[in-house]
Amino acid sequence: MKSRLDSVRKIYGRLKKNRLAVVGLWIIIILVITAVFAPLIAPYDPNEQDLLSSLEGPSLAHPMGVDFFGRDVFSRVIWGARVSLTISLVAVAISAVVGTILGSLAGFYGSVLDEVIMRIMDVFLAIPSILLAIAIVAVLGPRTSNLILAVSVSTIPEFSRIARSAVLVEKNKEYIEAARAIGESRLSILFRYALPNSMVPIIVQASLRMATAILSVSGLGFLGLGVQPPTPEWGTDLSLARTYLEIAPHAGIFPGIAIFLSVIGFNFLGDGLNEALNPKLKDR
Amino acid sequence: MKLLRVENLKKYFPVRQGFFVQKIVAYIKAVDDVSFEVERGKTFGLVGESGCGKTTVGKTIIRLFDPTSGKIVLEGKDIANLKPSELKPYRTKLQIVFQDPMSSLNPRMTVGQMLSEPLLFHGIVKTREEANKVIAELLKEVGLKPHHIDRYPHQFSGGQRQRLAIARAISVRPHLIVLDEPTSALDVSVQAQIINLLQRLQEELNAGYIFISHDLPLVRYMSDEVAVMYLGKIVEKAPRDELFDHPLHPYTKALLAAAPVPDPKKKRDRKNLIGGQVPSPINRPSGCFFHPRCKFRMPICEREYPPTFALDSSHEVACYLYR
Repeated sequence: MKSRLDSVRKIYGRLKKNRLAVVGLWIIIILVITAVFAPLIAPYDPNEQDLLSSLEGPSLAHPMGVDFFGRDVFSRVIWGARVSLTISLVAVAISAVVGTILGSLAGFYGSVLDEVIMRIMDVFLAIPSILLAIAIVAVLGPRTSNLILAVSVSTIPEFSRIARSAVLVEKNKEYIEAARAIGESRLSILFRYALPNSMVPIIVQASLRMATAILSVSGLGFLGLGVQPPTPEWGTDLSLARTYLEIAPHAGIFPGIAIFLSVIGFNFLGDGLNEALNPKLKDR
Repeated sequence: MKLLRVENLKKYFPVRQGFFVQKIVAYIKAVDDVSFEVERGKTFGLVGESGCGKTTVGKTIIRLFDPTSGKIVLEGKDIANLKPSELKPYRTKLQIVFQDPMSSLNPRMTVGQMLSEPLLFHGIVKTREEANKVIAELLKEVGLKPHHIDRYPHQFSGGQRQRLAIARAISVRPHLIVLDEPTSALDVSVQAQIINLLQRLQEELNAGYIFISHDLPLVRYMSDEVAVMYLGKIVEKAPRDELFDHPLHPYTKALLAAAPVPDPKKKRDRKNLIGGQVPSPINRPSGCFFHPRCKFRMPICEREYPPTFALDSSHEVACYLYR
């Protein structure tokens, strides 16, 4: 246990050398705190309407102004973090687990299973992920569960390809052969030996995919296929604000900034993790 | 009863080509008709250039590869065609130590986790506590300290890692251990320690060793009987001193001539040195595989692969010179 803590500390030490990664990490920490403590931080109920101050600009009472329906934009951005992060996190978690299992099975068993799984993944990869997500939501209806499904299905192929290649590398190492010489079953070798040693690229990918997932969720929201109003969600709010962008830009700018920051935060962290977890990369 | 009898063992790897439909276009004959025997407490040395198939012999015997044909008779039972599930009881009798201790230990497992795997899997111990006791003993046996149990492989030096790999191999008290160049990745001083450890363990376990190496002095030191391989076939097999003092096959002579002599006054036996490269195992020369590099080749060598000629009960050579 102690040694595991040490290795976390070591990774953080290497991560610290990359300034952008630290910035990304802090953005994400702030984002997560905001999402978790949204009810405590938000000054107003995100759905509370004060129609008299509709489209009012930023002021002390409403730091990010008021939207068309008289709702406090600041509170909605804070609550929106909760929605965006949860949906993206669940979607990425599902696709990471499913993609990793499929990809590692393909890589480890090879031959027919490999061909079947990877060709199906290729079919999914051929369709642009946002288009695939739109199609899924359009067919199944814009519910949160379908949104998660849409976003995760469109990222599964990426994870399976990465897991496959990582497992292919580990598969031929001698410690795997030693485990086979002991007589352990192939599944046990895959999940207890090969996979734990293939996690680095998958973790990095998960961080990078969080960024795309947030973008997909807000993208779908913007198109009206995502989270449905009045639930506060950045993309949905942005789409609503678009109509009044000329007279009240604040209602759209702030949700936009929130999307931008969270996407960039996960991207920075992902790139930093890639370097911190693969020290050899930097030497090249 | 012999511990191990290998009869006409063959291992061919298919070479596939094609985009949609993969066709087998050729075979790499890594091991081609190899036979030998190993007794308990004895060491059988296997030497040859890299790529001659000596590692494949070792890995096929412990059934990391499925043999193409031939018999692997372990204590009277042919295990060449057993399914993985049927092999389980034999896994405790056969173990392997690999060449590179950097890649042969799982980097994510502590010493304790790694060594408890075979013990628990084969039911040698029932509980973790029991396993820890056995592991502490094992670590002492291979010259490490019991408190090393919670460390990860990266916290050890190369020699210590090889000791761990040996501990893993002997944990199931095997009767036969394949040593696949166990010292070639180590410093010379560490090599000696590992060799001494292996010899001590052989006495303790009364285990048979298959010692695979290209280090000729080391093979001479370790082995009781030695076989020389060239392109998947054994070209000469003899008791240790017989082979090193009276080599017969031109290839054996060349190998011995190429080994450095640790005495500056002595001259190397340069007349037996050969040039050229090992031919490709996919497209081997006709007749005797060695004839393109052989000084003594005769017309028949280009046509037919020589059978094995037994000079006496223990010295065998596959060369027409000894017809």
